[in-house]
Amino acid sequence: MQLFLRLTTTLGLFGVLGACGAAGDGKPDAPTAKGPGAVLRCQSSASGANAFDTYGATAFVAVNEEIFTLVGTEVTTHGASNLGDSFGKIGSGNPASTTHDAATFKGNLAAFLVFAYGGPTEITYTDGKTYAGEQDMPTAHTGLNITAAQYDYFIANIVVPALINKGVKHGAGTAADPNDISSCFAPVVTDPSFKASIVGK
Amino acid sequence: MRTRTKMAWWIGGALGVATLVTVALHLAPVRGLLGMKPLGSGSKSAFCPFGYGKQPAATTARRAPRTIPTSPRPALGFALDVSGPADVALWARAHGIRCTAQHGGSVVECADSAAATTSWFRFDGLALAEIQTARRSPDARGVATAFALTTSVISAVIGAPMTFDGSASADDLARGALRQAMVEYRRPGYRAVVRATNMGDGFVLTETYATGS
Repeated sequence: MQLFLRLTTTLGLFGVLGACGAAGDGKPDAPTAKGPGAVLRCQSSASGANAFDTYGATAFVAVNEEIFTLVGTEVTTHGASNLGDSFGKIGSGNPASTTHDAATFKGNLAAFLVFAYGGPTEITYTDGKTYAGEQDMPTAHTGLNITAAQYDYFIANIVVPALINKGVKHGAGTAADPNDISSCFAPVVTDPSFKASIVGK
Repeated sequence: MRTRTKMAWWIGGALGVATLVTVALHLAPVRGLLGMKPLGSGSKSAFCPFGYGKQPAATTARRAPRTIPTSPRPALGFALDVSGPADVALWARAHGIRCTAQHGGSVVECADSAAATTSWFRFDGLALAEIQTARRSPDARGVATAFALTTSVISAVIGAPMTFDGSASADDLARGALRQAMVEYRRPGYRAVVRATNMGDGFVLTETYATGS
């Protein structure tokens, strides 16, 4: 569990930046597929860029790390029942979807986020390993018995705070005070089919 | 000979009275009359007045040596550091709510389907350490009202929050998915966080009440 709290090393950060191409330049290494968030336009972007192109790899690494920091706090101090078994059983192998250790789990989540929001199909994360962004959500969550209430709790208390804490714009939703969480992040995780691929598996 | 017979009668009588008193002290009505009936236990959950057998959790929690802040700490009617699993069970029974123990009983999850609310009670030993809830509302007005009510109750008891982020008005929450209002209270030995969030397919109010800072 202490791996959740491990700080990202500078070397690792450069690793992911290299894998994702020039951070924030909007031109990742020749993606062969597009995630569902690739077509979403961030309100703060004058050119109508998607979340990955607007915020870049650095921000995605920061958000991913923040998710694990918040989860680590939650698991350590709250016991993780409200998050389901997806975090509490990491590395146990029971169910089979928890076979990966914490570091691999973190890399997989980072790759998924990058891909889902318009980035490349694979990344090299802070541990120097390459992770694929296109992932089978139902398989990854089979046997975890995540409930709708746990999903709600995770999105409201982990995902949204992580985005806010790492600087994703969450203003009033006007041109002067844009809200990117609603415009280019929310649709992916609030999509009913995405939620259905995680809850109740 | 006569003295021995008299002594035997006295000893026998004393043993008989002691037996009757012991039996009487194990009867619920007698315990109640003597103020020995523990809070949070039903009439059938007898415990031995002489300290034998398993005591109800709530009683055990109250007797656990710990430093409990004396200032009020609102937690949905429960007492942090004091309430035990038996108190949660009693509350659930009174409201017809189903609960399941998890992680060896250190967490109790209660699902109130009528109120679309799931609650998680976490215990440190047998004392309540934290309550977390997720309450669904189909419309923004419902979650905005619940948010205002919940935060006003906490503020009335312990004062203004430490952090307030976002707008909790129904119109603002309805403006887009993952719009969120958050309020956090921190006092010595107490932390409460209330969030109202637009989940795209409805709204959710999440609450956390915890010991610690």
